[in-house]
Amino acid sequence: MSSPTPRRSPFGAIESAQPPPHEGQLFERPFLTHVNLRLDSADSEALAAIQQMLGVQLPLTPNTTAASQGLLAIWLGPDEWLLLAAQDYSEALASDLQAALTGHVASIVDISSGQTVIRLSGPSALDVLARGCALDLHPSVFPPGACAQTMLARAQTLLIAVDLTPTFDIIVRRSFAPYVAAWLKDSARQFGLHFPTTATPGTTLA
Amino acid sequence: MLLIPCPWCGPREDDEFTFGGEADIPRPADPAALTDEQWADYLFMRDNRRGHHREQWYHTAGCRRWFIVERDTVTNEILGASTYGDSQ
Repeated sequence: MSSPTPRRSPFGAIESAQPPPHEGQLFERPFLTHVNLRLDSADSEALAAIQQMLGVQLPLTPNTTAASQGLLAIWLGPDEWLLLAAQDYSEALASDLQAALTGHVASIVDISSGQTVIRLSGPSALDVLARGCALDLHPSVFPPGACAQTMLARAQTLLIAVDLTPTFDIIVRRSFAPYVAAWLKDSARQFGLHFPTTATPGTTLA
Repeated sequence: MLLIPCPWCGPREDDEFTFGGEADIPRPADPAALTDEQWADYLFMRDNRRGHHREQWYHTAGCRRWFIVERDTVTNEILGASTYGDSQ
């Protein structure tokens, strides 16, 4: 075995218990960097400074995202974005943002430990989500790169369409994560997908 | 269920929103100059109109912005939505 062992949260999945990947996948993308950024979208200088720093323009169109090297900028509001990046990058990202925005009115908050990302993938993903979400998530109206803040099974979530498998990233507050994970597993069972149950709810999921 | 057209996020079901009451009620410039009756009128008294109504909604589960919806209180028909910037 030459491949490196992936980092895993303490109660991570027993891989053998997962359904075959082509049927469906449900797993946590733990410990990612989440930084909430607020600034006046009329401040073109600030936007330009951010674009130069991130290598991508902050999305100004509602419900869209913009990707650059290892970073995803997600529209949250007319003056608010979520920057999603690799693990253990929040301090560097926050201080770079702070440097780039010196002299501008902005808010930079590291919320990495406050929320987590659940990835749901597979041919049944749309059906699994449709049991608890009123939005039409079909790729014809919610293509890869689209995002939406909405309710999933009555929990506040941020949905991001990742690819046409289809794959979705579901961002939830960490206190909601066990509930949303349990709900997703239950919803997936309806479609013949039996995702493993975690040892300790709240620690991680599948 | 209402389908409320958030000016930013697009049409969403009303579960995602918080109702904010009648719109276009400016805060008095000098509250200290008002009588108790005038202040109570500003705080509590609303028209409770039948028919066309301009009201405030907050997109709690979405973009978290306040905006204005025009709704017919008899039929629940939504006649339009606008931001505060639009209406100024």
